[in-house]
Amino acid sequence: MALYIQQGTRFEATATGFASGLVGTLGVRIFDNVGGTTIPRTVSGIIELAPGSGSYAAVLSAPAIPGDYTVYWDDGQVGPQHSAAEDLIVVTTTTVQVGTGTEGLTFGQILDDVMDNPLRFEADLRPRAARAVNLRYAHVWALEDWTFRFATTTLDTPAGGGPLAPQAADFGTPLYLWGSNGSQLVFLNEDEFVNNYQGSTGSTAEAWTVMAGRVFVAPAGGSGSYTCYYRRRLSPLVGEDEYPMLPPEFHLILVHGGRAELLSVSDDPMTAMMEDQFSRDLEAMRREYLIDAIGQPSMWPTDYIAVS
Amino acid sequence: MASSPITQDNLVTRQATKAKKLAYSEIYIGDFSGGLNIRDALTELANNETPDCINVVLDERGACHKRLGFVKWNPTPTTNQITYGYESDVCNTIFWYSQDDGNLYRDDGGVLTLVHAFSANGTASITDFAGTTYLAHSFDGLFFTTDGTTWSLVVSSGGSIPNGDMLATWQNKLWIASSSSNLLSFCAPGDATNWDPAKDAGANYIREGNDFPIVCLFGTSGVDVQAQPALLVGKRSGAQGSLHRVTDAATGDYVTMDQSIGPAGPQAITSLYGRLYMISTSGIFETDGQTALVPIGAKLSRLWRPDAIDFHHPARFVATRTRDRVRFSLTLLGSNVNDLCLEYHPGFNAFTARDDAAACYVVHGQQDGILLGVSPKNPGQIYQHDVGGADDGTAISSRLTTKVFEPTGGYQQRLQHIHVLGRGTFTVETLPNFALSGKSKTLSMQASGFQWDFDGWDDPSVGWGEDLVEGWDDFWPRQLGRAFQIRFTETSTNIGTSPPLGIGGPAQAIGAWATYGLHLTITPLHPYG
Repeated sequence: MALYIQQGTRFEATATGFASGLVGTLGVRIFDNVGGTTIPRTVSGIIELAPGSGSYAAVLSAPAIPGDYTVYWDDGQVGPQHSAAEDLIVVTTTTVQVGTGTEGLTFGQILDDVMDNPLRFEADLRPRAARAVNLRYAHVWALEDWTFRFATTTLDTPAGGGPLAPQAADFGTPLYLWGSNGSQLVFLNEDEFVNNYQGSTGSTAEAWTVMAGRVFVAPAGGSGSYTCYYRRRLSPLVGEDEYPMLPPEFHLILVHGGRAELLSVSDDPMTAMMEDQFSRDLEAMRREYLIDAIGQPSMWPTDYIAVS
Repeated sequence: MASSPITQDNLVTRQATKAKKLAYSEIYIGDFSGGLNIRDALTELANNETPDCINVVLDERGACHKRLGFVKWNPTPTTNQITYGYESDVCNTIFWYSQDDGNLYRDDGGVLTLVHAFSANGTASITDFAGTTYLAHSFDGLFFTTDGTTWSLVVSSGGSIPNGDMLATWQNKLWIASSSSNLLSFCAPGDATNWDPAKDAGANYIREGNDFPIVCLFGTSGVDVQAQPALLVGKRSGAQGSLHRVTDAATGDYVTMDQSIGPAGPQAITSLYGRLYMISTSGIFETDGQTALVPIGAKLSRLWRPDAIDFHHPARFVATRTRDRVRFSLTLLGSNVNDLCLEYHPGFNAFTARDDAAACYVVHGQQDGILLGVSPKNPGQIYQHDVGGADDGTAISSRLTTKVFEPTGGYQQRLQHIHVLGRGTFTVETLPNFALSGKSKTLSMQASGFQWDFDGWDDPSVGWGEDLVEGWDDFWPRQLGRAFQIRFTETSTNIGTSPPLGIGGPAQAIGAWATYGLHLTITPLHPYG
């Protein structure tokens, strides 16, 4: 199981299977998985969770740079039986707001290009073009786990309790939740959550779930805000002054996709050519905006994004 | 033969098949010279024919142009409707006659002066003969003038002057007939006062085939074949008629050219390029004056039915030549006056329709051959035709619809694109599947400097002839259908202006818009590729 931790935040790491009584001997460090040690080995701050248990814990600080790491424990001796490792995935704390800036093409400009009026489509097809662009927009959005599909936001506890209220307008699917103290809450599926926490109260939340699209934390009764790493939800483009939630340099993909869609519904043989262009755009975007492609998980390209 | 097994490779969806087979198909329509054809089914028309057009004309290469309009000729209308006009070379004027009040006017540059008051309700005819202008009035007799102002009753110097209301000059004789009989009379050679048979005057009854009265005399001036001069005599009773040719000016002997078809009225025949054109109650015909009638208006045959034309008023039907065209004005059912004009293009035997019908015409040869037409609707008003972009200030609505094209044989198709070569601003509409309306777009192919009263139309610095006159514009209807028509419409008071002739001279006014060709791009959508 991997740990997903926000960059630069403190988190709790645990290790089991060691001999008991190794406090002061057992050390922990963080490797960057490419030959470097990001956090040097330390023995301080490590406690044995229960005397004689052989299970240890430590509060560590996540590296500042998002990426894949390994939390590595050892008792000072060499050998597999003397070490333990856990994947650490450091995610960004930056709020990425691709699509809310003023760069690239507006929806209206995209439609103008799709229509290529008066060269390709007449003005009466503009509503149809809007549907075509939004259809391709949804296709592009859902096709891959684009890096720009993920972001963090704050969820607030409403007065009187109840489901958390996300601050982000594009809040979609919550993936990880942290409390105000930086500790990650455990996700439970709905029935486990209800089974474990029905009626329970407390001041510090330790678990969360999603019911009917709403985020609940337990035990209930606490207050404050939570940091959530989530997958953004796409909203169709409506106003012609809106910018799509795609990297600006790839806004033309909606022109090519929308035009291909319009050509297709118009039985135009030029459809194939425009689909090819659309595919090439997609491939280019994959190379730039997929985690696998860039080798740095959650490494947000910052050249073209508006950061708030 | 065993069928191929269905595998993933050869199992394709219909959509995939469609995608593989999609291709453009193209149609080029650059010729409208077939003109109006309201006889045949929409799909039976020739590619260059139209089932529906109004206020357009065809040029010599078959392109479609909007017609020009008309302007007032006489600033002050006469009191009553003018029913007859004649340009006299002898008197150097035009005479206009009103049957309603019997008034005869002379016309000097649009200023009409009453010169004689004949009895009201009589019909009249005028002709120049031997240095004198004669007028036959159905009630008052035969009159003459040499100055166009003073009209006097012709006094016989021999024989009895016949009554009549139709005159013709032919073979140095004045011929007269009455619309109440079939007696054709002629004077002594060169002397309209002498009707004495002893002086080679005479008469003959045109009774062959029927006893209908004479309705039209037409001396075939300009069409005479030297060896076979002829005077045409038309008779009509209701919707029946006959046409005869006088073959001997000494006796009035004649032959019958057609025993069932005759001119509709006294002004129903005109001549152009050595041919005679006649509007009758059976259609429009052409002849050289010697041989049988040729039904040039056969494509308009549905018009000559009682549910289309008012057969009560065929005497109103008139014909005239103008420039290199022939026009016919007639009365449609439900109208009390001529309300449809058909223009015939002898170059390619085609008609177009116009709504600038006239009660009668005069080709004003003494003034550049302009065409004057009497308004059928505004009493006493004469118009100069083919001037400006409006009909006496009213915008002209013009239209032409192509035949129904079925490029894929009735299979589904999509009309993707129309590329238009033309001039001016007009609306293009696509009509799918015989529909009366469809998608439309206004196209503009205006060239700066050539629009009347706009841009630099009168600015010498514009440089006539250096700018574009024609242009292209595009319409992407993306319309689904099995068959398509294309319709052009425009309503305005605009005109266009042609570049000047290469040899110099001014630019010329032309109709506000024109289309020279259409390029249609379609995608056939055959069900199985």
